[in-house]
Amino acid sequence: MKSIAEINAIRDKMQSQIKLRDNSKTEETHIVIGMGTCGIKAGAVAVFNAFVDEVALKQIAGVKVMRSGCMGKCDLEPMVEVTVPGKEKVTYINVDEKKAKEIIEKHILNGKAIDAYLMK
Amino acid sequence: MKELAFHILDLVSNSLDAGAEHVKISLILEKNTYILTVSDDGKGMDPETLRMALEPGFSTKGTEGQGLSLVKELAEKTGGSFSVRSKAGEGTEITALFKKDSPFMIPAGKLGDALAPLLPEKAEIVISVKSEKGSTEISTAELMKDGSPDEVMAARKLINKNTDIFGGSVL
Repeated sequence: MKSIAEINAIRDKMQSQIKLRDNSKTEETHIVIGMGTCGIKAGAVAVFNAFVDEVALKQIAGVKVMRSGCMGKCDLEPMVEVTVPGKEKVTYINVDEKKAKEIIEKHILNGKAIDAYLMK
Repeated sequence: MKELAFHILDLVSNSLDAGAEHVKISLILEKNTYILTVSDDGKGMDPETLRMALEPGFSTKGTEGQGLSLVKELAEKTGGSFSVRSKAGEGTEITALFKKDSPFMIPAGKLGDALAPLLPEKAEIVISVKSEKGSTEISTAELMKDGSPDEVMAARKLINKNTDIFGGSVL
């Protein structure tokens, strides 16, 4: 039987390992665009390409732009989830190409989510 | 109105969602007929799922279920035809023929732009285009290494340019 101190030490060690793993998972910023039929109909492909172009042209490192399936709220498409390492995921709604550029500029480059475009 | 390139996106999305690692898109312009084939090595469909998949509104993914049925409807409206061959565990092949001079024929659109959202994924997509003007074949395996935005943007432009042999757009 291990002592409480030993168990606590094991717990602390494991927690730090888990934290390390979690950090490694979220080192990249993820921009995920809902690309179900409803999203595509609402213009999600142009939004995807606007994000890709902005990230590539501005040479922003550590950002991945990806698609997902339907995000479940068809009338709010195109929907975009942004996950910045160490911060909570936020979801933008009714995104268009202009808003995509603004999200890159204000949120990705300057760290400030744009409240007006977020899902409430 | 949805461009043809976006219908192709729907079909290739279905393939990737069915776990395909390889998808081949073949586009041929022969006289007055466009022949589109999309084949994959995904999980395929059993006969009952296949029958249902051609009905508007059927989906195994919780989506609108308008992908396959709309391509079928479009092909038949133009006076062309549509067929699916699929076997559970072996993949799916969809062939659609569209008549070029039909009033129901739609603009082709840019294939690179439409397929861009699928490029960061691991599956290899081979695009083969052929007409009297020439032919070309592009594999995304040669274009994509890490799925970064730089790669996606470059691949998208290259696909747009190289599938432009039918004049102004992919077809």
